[in-house]
Amino acid sequence: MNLVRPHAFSGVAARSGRLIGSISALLSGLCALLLAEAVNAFANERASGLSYALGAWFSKYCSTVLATRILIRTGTSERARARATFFGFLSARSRARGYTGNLLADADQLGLVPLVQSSYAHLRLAPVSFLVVFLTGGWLSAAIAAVLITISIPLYIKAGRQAETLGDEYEIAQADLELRELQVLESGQELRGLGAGAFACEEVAALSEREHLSAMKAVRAALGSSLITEFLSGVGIGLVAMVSGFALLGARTTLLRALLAVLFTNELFGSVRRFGSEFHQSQEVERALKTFTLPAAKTAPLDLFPRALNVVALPGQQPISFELSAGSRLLVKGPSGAGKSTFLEALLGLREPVAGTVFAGSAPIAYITPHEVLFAGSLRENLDPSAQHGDLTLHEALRSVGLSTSRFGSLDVNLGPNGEGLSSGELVRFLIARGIVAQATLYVIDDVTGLLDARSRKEISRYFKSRVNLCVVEATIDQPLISPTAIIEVHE
Amino acid sequence: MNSQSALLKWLRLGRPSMRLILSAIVRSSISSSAALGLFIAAIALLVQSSHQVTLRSIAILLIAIELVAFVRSPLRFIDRLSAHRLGFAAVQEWRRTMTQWIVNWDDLQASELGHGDVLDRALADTEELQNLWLKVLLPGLNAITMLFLSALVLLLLPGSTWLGVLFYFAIVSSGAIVLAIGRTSLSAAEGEVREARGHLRNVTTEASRVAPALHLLKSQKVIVSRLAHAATWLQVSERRYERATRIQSWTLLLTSFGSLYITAHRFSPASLWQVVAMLVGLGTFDLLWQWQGALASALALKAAMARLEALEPVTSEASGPFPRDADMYLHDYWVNGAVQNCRVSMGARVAITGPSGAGKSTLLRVLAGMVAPSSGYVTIGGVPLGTVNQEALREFLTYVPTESRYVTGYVSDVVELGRDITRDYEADLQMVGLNWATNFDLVNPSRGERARLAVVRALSTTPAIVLLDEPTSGLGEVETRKLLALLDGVEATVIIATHDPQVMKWCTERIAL
Repeated sequence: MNLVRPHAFSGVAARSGRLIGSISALLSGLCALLLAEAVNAFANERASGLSYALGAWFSKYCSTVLATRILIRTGTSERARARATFFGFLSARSRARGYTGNLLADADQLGLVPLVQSSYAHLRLAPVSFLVVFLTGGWLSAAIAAVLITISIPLYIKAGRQAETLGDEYEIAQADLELRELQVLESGQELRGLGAGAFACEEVAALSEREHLSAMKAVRAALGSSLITEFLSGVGIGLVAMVSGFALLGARTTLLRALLAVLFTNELFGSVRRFGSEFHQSQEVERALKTFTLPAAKTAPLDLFPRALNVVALPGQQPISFELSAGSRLLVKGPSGAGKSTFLEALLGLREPVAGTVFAGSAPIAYITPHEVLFAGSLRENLDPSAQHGDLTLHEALRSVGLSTSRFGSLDVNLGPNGEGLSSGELVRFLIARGIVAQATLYVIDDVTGLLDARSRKEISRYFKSRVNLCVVEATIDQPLISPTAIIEVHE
Repeated sequence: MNSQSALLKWLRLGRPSMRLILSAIVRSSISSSAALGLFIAAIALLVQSSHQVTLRSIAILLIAIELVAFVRSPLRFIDRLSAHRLGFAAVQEWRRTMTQWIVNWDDLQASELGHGDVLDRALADTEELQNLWLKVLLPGLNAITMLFLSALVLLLLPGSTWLGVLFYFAIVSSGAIVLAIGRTSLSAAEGEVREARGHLRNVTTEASRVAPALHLLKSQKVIVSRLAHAATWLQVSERRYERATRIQSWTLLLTSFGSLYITAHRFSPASLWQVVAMLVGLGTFDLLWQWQGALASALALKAAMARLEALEPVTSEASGPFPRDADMYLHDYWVNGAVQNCRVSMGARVAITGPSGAGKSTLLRVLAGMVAPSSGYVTIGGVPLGTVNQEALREFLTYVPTESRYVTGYVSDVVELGRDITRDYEADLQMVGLNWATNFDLVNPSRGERARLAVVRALSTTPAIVLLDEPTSGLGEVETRKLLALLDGVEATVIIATHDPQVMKWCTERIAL
């Protein structure tokens, strides 16, 4: 699998973001310069005012429109690169199936990498504005600007930290809402059958409110931090205008210098403000980057089949150890709720065991559970998701699990949009057939009791009996499909 | 439904109070005029200072500027917060409605859309509608207010002419109109982006469910390429949309240029006022930028609304009461080439049997009134099932599909589901071997636990008829016996689709398919 390393995301996009940020900061400074000259010319009734004004406007236009366009463009590519790696993340999760919200949202966040970088670049040019203020407005204006900015920095850091916690809180609330909504979707029929629709609506509304309350908190924090900068910049511009105004009164300066001082104070605070408003955004982007950081690749498994060494899947269980080999028939027994499924998930690496070690195997594994689903598409695609085998192989596999009725005659029949369309008994047999097609050497069957009628049970038992080299692990309460060579009892 | 009436409908569904709306509008206008005022006044002060050296006039200006500087940001803060509040209240209502719709879907509608797609609509598109206030109505109104305000400022300047102001006004409004028209033509591109997003979400949701098993099987090519395809489609449509917005940049350019030219040229010889006029002209760019943002959001909104409309249930609500006599009849139902006619009298224990794939579940759903039969009809006490009001029907007839999923949270919530409970379900739970207190938090119950819980839940309102689909799958022999003992104690008619011999033996009647 080709998984892109996280820092590959930020390379090009971050560079172009920084470049755009610097250029737009320079253009914005140029705009201020031209605007000052324009106002000066108008005030002195010189005709050149208009051309300066047009120049000012042109640089403003360029810095805003072009920068926005380019930043969006690079952002689009970033998002696309992030989305291309989804499968790797999805295959590693067994909990909360169907939940994809944070992955999609985080990919969107990565689209903001250039924007965040450009605001950093903008900020980096702030000293130039400060220098201009000092040269044109004198030491008092510069001191005013410096003091106000110094005040704002710790406030930013605080706001950023707050934004981070609130962001986490919001993400949790959002995940809860999405999971519940997904459950409503999956159990719509059941809720209708019980007359419990109103309850589901109230639950979703309540979760939605919780999501909004935490969003509101985050908004308030973000606005609070922008309030501070807005306020400081308003005061800053006002004070510098006052100082320059008195200097003009006392004829200690020229109108052009005074204008430059005021406009560049505006620039200076503008870049700080911009950085401030992107600051919590940058925290989000960093979180997103973390999501896309994959754990280091594991070394290739040594054995064909997985091995368990003192594995405890649920707290309170006895540790379990075993090895599998070709021809093994392992039965995992225990009452309902004892943790059989949890143990199998741990064995397959779909969850971390509480204690002990699982050594992964390299064999292709057919994992058969009643809650496994198919995907939208034809029977052929579902039966052979690697798209490698011919129809003959596929029909043969279906026949060996007893799926030979007319509805399996054509492999081009499409399932529903959520992979629905097979009865639960057919689904179990179909999953076994899928394993046969993929030449799985290990079958892990999790509690399919009660889903198969007597005839299909017999057919499947016969199939496993005839393939002596296959390895089968089955968890069940009391009706195994296999004749076990080893038995593990799971107790609470 | 055209877009205006659709918009009105959605507004009605999630209506905030008029007072909230008005105050949000007023706040946003005040805060943006304050922002413009501060900048103009600061420049004017300097020009003033360099010409007329009277301390009083400068002091007045200074006080004005500082006042504006102090109130500007709190004003903006309040403005944004009230806009957010407005949107959030509406979204909550919309989501409630959306959930109601989803639950009321019939089988056909439920099978038409992928879960990820619906999720994208119910969550992302409702969020988009929230922007109706935050990004469309308030900024749009604000831009219009600012346009009038700018024209007023220009008009009040000494030496200005009506004609000049009119000209300014005309040029800016025609720019705004061109932007609006340009936006309409973007509608298709916007719709495609949204569709592509929904598709990606759908494919991702689907992949997240099948990925672990396919990864273990080392057989994931179809899904990986499907994901890649969805991501590419989204990227391509995003690019296309981006390109389509290019015309807007030109409109913004020309209009701003025009207004600047006019304001800078036409106004009066008095220099200070010319400066002010020019600043108003420069401000036009911000104004149009805001307007174009509002238009962009409006368009996104329109597309979101269209997608949400598609979720509305098609079934019309029946109004009949539940009949007194709960004898059920199935008339002329064709299945597997044979016709089924049968009667289920009150209190009977009926097994629906047949090989897997024979249509047991479908028949059960037909009897439960979850889906209209493909042939024939079902009556209860002589009344066709389809004419009974849903609420009344579910009070007396409950249906449990195989593999119950809505089972996380506190036991009391999970069982009660907000309904009127008439049985001691705690005792029932104990009877089937689930020793849970009502305040026990169910995180991830096992399959067998879920199966038993679902039956207890269906009985907890003491219905007259209970229909169960494979209720004993995932249960051992002992647990099945306990479950049947529980069912023994209820008076209701029990209809079970099953191939468990133990259950078949317990039933007194049989419908074989």
